[in-house]
Amino acid sequence: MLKKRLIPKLLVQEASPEISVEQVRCAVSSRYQQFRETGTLLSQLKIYEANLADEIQIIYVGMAARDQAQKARLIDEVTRVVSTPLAVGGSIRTLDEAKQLFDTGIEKLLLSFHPKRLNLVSNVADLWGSQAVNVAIDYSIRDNVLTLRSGRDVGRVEDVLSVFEEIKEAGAGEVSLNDVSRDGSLLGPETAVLREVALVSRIPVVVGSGIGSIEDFLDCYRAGADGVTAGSFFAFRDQNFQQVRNRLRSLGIAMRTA
Amino acid sequence: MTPKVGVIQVEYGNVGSVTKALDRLNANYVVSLESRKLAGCESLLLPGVSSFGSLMGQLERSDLVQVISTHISKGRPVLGLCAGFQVLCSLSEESPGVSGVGALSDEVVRIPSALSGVRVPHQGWNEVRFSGTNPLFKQVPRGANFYFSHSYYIPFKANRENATTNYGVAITASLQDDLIVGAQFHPEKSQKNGHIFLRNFLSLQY
Repeated sequence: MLKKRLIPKLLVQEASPEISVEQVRCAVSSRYQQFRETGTLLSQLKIYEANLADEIQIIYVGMAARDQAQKARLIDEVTRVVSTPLAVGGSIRTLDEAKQLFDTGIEKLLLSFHPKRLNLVSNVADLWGSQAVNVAIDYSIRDNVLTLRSGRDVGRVEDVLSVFEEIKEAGAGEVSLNDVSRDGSLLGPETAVLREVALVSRIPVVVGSGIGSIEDFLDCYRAGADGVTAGSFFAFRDQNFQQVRNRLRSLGIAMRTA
Repeated sequence: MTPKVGVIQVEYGNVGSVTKALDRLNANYVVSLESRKLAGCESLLLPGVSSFGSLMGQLERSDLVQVISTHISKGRPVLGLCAGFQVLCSLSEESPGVSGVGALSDEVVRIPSALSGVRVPHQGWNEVRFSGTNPLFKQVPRGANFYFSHSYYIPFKANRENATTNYGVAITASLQDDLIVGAQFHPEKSQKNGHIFLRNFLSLQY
């Protein structure tokens, strides 16, 4: 039986060539706008790998244009040491940038939904397969109106399905759902959108943003998520990764132990 | 010195993660598209993260189908990973009209999503069941999970040395026909279990 995935999320703000791989720092975010450093990337990755993280997300944020080329270089270095499947993203805009990352050995590319950038989704899916591209719907809901981070008003929560259809049509093999307003809040994820998408989706669904407790993970898996990402939860909740996994297993969620 | 493993340098694939896994095993290998160089290796490794048709196209353009077939006829080990496993078969529903290498008589079909109620691609960790005498799984613990990431599969057949995983249908997780070995999962991404699997492949005697 396929296990549910527990996916730590690490952000990287800087990876200039002057910094050695061991020194690169990682961070978590709040509302995708504020960032708090949580340690060094390589040591965090090793700890997660030792604790059997099912997959790890590494997302580049706010990197200087001159450091774009460093994105692949850093991943190339960390993948020598860490073999856990990696999903990498953060302003990847061209097929060339995608290829540089895939050549290092990453499992999939993380792209944020944007109506004008669906071509890249299709091109990546054509070359590396649909399983190689995850498209994220980053949204917020206010007064029952769902708005995408790209600024587009979608309308009612159920209308998120039209965005989901576009993503599926473009060839994505996985969809991510993130309520930006809850990012870093530890107050619990938004699950109405998850339920809508989970009801119809025939591709894997990953959800994140706002995870603050074991119950939050449980709610997401039970609502139909195949994978749940968490950044601040693992950084600040002082939760042992293995304990989280064991607790979820004891509550009936299929989690791997070996 | 004869390189032990010839890794076929597919352009859109996961050569990077495969070579890193081989580095961790201290394996002696070469990465190439040149038929002569690859023909000189003890074993061949065909990585694959692409469609059946796309990978076959790459192999044909580089005259490598013959290299693989010759290796097999000489009784030397060949390991196909994921799409690399699938192209060793005769054909695939993914790319109608395209012939595979044909080293295995199996046909590759799409994982039935609607029929089985599962989401496709099959992505993540799943338990692989293998017999205690399967040399590829020597020292792999019972109940071991491996990392899968695919939408097409080779249906499990009971009468041969293979391992299986369940995802609505019985998927051939790995199979061994003489020294042709296929793995549907990604051993290079399956941490400790995958490391052992690869080490066992490298130890196969011919």
